[in-house]
Amino acid sequence: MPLSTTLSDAVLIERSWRDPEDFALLFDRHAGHIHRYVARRLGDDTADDVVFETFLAAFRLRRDYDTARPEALPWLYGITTNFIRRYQRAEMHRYKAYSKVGVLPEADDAAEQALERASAHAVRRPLAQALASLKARDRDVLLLVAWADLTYEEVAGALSIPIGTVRSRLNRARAVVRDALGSTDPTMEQTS
Amino acid sequence: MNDLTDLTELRDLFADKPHPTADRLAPARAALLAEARMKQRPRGRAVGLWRLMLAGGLVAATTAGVIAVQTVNFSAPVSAAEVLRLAAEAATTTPWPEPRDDQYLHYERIAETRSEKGVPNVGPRHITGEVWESVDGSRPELLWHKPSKSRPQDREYKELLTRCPGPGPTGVRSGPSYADLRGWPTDQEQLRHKLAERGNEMYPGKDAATRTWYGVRDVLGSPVPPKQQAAIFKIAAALPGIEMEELKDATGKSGVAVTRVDNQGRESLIFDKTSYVFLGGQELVPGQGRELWSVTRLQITDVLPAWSKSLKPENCV
Repeated sequence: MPLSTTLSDAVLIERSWRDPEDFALLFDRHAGHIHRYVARRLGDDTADDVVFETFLAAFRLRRDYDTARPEALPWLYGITTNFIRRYQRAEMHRYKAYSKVGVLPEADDAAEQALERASAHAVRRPLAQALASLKARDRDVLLLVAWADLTYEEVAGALSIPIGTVRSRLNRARAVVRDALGSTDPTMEQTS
Repeated sequence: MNDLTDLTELRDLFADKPHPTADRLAPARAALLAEARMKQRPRGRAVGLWRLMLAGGLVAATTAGVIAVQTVNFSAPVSAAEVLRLAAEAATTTPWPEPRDDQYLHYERIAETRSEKGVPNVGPRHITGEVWESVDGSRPELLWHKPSKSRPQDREYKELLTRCPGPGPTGVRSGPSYADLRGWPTDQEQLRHKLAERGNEMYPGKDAATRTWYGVRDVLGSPVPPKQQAAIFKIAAALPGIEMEELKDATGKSGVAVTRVDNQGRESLIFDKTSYVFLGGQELVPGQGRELWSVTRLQITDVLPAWSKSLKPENCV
């Protein structure tokens, strides 16, 4: 079995301290997840840039990585989040455009547009509107949980914020999303 | 609507976005490899940079306390209850100029999380923030979150938070302001009831002692007037299941701790070893890790810093 599938992220990163090229194995393992996450927020073209920026920054920071954490994905998502913030205006524009016409701005092909319109049912447009209306830091937490499947602890680690802050930001964001979905249930307590 | 419907709907949004192809990722991978090949192999392994940076931050955070602490030479306590009784005494003998309702309590809040060896994803984090808390809660609270020493690339952020008059968007009522606490009873039975009520708001359904402990822990997360602080420590001293141990606080200072153990883990209140002044706390979940927190450099100020005028107040929390 190749090393790239048997070693933990932490070990790969530690190996890259001595052999920098080993960092490419980390790219092979996680770049797809990061790209898809960013593409859902910003579209494929911007995702190409953000993925490159993320891994370049991660490579330069690799000696600071705490190898007590075997999984590096939350760390990478944290770096990615910082780069996504540079495109905040474009992200909001994207959600707003979708909420208005049911089509994402990058869908330039007519057939793709028609397909998107058909799938943009009544729930998705208000959801996109809700995402556009969130504060950036609340949106980051919400989407790291919903789209990147990070736990509260992982989000806290990724964004360097206390878990209590993760909970309060997530609750705030979910209140907005529920409003958009027409919820009447004010209780927001949840478990991690 | 089911509690998780919103997240389920959100998970479906743009979920048809496919994983990128290898061709799509190839340019970024090639650029990364090019960068990697430019690096020379180091002569030795540079270990502990993160920890060195962290230690530097801790040293800076522990210098120059603002409120003078009176040192009381008690003989070494023999039980957790005795530690709390000494802490109650220290709370009322330490000089403290009572703030006016229109002033602010300005302090630093430090949190550090350490995972147990082998536990994924809950890595060490060191978080520092400055807080300006309106004494009577009538003015917005200012928070200045600073980048972690281990994550200097993160941005700092500042926010002005207003208290909601009733339960906030999370459905939980804001904690009591300093002036509210000043109005709390010091009578043991009445105060115990208040603390249990607060503990029950956050963690309903627990037994009375656990509710009271949670209330104690929650209230002590921000500055508390000396008389009420002393009364709270006396109540905690009478709770079952407390024990004494030696622990370091979030600033690295060694202290004496009162720990309560339940099926969730161990929660501790940490006190200065000599003066018995309250330093902070620790939450330890066996098999997972622990979080340390401290409130330090407490002082009283009349106004918020001038730069806060450029901040827009957030919705109430």
